[in-house]
Amino acid sequence: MNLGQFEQVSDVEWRVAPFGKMRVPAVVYADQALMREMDEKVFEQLTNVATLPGIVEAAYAMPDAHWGYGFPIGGVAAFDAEAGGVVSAGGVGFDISCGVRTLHTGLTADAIAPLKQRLADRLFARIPAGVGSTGQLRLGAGEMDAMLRGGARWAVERGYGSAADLDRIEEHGCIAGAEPDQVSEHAKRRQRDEVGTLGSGNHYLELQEIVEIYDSKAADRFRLRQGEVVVSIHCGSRGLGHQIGTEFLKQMVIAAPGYGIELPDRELACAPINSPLGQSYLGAMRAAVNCALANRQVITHLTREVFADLLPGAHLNLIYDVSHNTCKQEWHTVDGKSRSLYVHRKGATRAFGPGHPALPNDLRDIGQPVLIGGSMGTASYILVGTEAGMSRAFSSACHGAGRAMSRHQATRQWHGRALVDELASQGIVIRSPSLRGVAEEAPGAYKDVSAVVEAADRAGLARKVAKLKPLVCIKG
Amino acid sequence: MKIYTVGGAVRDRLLGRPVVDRDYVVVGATPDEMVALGYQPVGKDFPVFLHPQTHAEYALARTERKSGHGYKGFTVYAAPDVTLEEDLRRRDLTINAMAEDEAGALVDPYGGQRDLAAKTFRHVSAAFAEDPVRILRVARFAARFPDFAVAAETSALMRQIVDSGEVDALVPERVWQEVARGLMEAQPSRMFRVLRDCGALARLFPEIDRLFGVPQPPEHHPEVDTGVHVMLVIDWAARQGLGLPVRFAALTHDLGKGVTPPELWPKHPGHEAKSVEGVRALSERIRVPADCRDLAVAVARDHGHVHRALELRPGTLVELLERVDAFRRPDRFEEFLQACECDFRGRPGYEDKPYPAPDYLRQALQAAQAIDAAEVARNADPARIREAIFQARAQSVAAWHDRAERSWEHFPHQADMGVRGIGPTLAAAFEQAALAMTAVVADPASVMAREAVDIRCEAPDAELLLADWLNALILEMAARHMLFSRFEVHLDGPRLHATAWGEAVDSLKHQPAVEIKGATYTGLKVGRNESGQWLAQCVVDV
Repeated sequence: MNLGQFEQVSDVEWRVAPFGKMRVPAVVYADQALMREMDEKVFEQLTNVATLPGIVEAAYAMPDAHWGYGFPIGGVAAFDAEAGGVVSAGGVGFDISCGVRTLHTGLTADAIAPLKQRLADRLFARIPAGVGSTGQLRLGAGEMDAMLRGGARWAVERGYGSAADLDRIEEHGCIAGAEPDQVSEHAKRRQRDEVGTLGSGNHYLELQEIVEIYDSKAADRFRLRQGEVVVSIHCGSRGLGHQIGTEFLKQMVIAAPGYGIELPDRELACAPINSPLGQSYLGAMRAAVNCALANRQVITHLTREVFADLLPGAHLNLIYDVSHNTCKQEWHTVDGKSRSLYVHRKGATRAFGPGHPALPNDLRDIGQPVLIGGSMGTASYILVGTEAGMSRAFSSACHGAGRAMSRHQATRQWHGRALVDELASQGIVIRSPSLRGVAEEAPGAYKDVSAVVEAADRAGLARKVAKLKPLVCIKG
Repeated sequence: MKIYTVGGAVRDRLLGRPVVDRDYVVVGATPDEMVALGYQPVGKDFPVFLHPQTHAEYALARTERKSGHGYKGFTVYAAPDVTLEEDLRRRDLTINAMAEDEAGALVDPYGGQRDLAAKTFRHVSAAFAEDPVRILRVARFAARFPDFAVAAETSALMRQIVDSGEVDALVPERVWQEVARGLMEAQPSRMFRVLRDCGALARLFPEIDRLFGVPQPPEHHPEVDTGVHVMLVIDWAARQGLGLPVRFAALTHDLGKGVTPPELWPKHPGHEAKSVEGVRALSERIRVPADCRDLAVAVARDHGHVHRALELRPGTLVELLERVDAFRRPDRFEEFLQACECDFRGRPGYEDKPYPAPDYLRQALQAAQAIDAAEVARNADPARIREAIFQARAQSVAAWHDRAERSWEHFPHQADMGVRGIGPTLAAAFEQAALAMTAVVADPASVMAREAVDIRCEAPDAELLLADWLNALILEMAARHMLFSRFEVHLDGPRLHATAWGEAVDSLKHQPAVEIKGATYTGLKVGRNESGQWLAQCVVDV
């Protein structure tokens, strides 16, 4: 981006004062190198977001921000319903509640080493991944609605995982206010046999080794020990979320003029929170959040089954589950006043600091685990929410590396087979139904996740706790 | 005896413009003296001689006095005692009433230089009123010197002449001659403006005068006023340096709009047929030459068809080509297309817009010409040869149309991928965009068209309809676990009805790379490119 457009507040904070129709400033958290490489579209999209009715404080972008749909990916914006604030389908995105969860195995990398290939094969066979794959469950109308209402809790009630898991999931595994009636039949039809599937694109399941600890106190509390292995699962609300995103985007585009909302970009389509369409979307979106939580819960169960077969002593305990594409009602202090806000995080992670009431008892004093997924073959990170972060971007942090290159470019630069072989030589086992899919997700097509995490840490959005290196990657 | 260069040559030299014709005035000579010097007498009504070597025109200085109605009613007086000033005095405008002697000294008794500097057309004397054709001449000069204005007193005088009924007596040939010359000037609209300002347009060309104040639909004609449109069209033709037949056709193509009953405004149903009648009547009245008239008739009749060429069926295209005689007169066909393009561009904001119709029709003509007419004729029923040739041409055009570029491509987006369909029709572009989307997932060639799925959607505009169409396919792909490789799209306003053919996803056979989450409004665009093909594109989220 052209840095001349920004006022540099610190080495990791850049600000654009309101101009034109902007109601609030735009703020990007990133270091100079990340800023330079960032797509110019981020500036355009972020300043567009700042024009939306009822926006509070500022439109924020995380260090991994890139060109998205209406909102930049890595964008955070909060709206006050009482001040005419809006909810935006584009601001949540198509893959509603796409997120990451990480589980302990309690096993060391050395213990797993001889079983790596078998684990990879068994996980790849057990967990449906890729285009056209279906899960074991077939949901009829009643079960579908129960799943959309109950989220991970619904899955646990049906034997997928344990009640202990729920505490380690945002919203305790089930977001309130989900309204299955607001979810179209098309969306439900798309989801009928997709519960417990990984999907494709950048979704994955990885076995990762903890290779570095930065904050031993937090690491102890998260029970992260160097040399041990964790499992990370990255996926979302599958077809149901995509369909809801698609349908409400269109409805909001058509309805916007009627609400007196002038859209600088159709993809920014939104509706007042206090409007029938806004409420209908929130009900449907929350159902999709539950769908994503149920989906990750079922995949967790399948993963545990594979481990139980091959490594009967292993106990896979959930460290935490975070969602990246959401709009959540939260209380935040703005100008000394506590206000109820609708916080959109599009490709950004909630990062509550110590003491937040939404955190489970055993983590409340230390802060929320913030899980940052890397790209295939590169590092992932675990961070922790901070006190300082509470006053920055409504307690939000980055979510991953962010693409640096289009899929188109990536397929021209890498070949799937060669990439799989190269990663194998680094000790990383890849399993994927599609070699082209692997090429499109080449590590080199992403930004340097370490630089992104470093910037988030320096900006005080969240603090680095541990670094993870992939051992096995099941690619969707 | 003294010889002076006079008129246009002097004016153009002072303006720094190239001097084409030189006219000379001879003062103090008799016809006999001229003949004795070897000049050839040529003038019938007044004494004009051709130079023995250069054949340039030399006229004896003369005065003229009006003695009757119209152009011929003059008494000419030429004698050695007529002075240069007297001769210059009978001329029309001060800028044309200057002379130069053989040494290059300027004689400017009526302020020609001053008026040149002030860019003013001013009559020399009241004698201006004696020849009504001078109104046309002033109008023509206005077209040639667009930055000159008519002096107030000259304007008033011109209006008086019109009011007196003098212009009604003008001979048709003179009118056509002046108008034809004016049309060939730099900015022909100025001629009509001057004629309109003095009321002469209504007397000489009521069918053109009537166009002013007649509205057209603003969505197609931002200028609204038909008269304004026609003026823009002839000026466009002039700017392109096009020939007289094209400019005349440009002037007359919309004459029919002047006779639309006002209750139908701003629409003009059937104006083309009425324009044809108007062109014929006007051509008859002022003796327009056949080549100008015939082109104008064709343009008046068919300009609407040309604008819609890309939507015409093959048979209709061939009918159009036959009607404008494109097969036998390719040069005339080019002029015909030029005039239609002037009509398209003669609207504010349309100067740079893509206008694919001419190229499209040229290609259609080529396709229609590709048949072996002799062979078709040999095999046809002798009574129906014409029809057989028509059929063969239509088939050949249909085959060309089907072959016409259909393609798809991907365009980059940072996180995802853009799909773009290209085709001769909007529906074809939608089909190709769907194919491009399949190609995001797998090689379309690997997907068999085994099973058909019916798809319907509706959206308020073409762009949202494209997103809807692709999203409907994404839903079917996801819910049925299918990939599609063949599409047939029918569009009816805001509604789409389509069939998609494909088969169940087979991960070994298709090697699907990614699942598509949704078609987005990013990069969403539906429209035509510069060669007239339809494009339909957007980014899909994967």
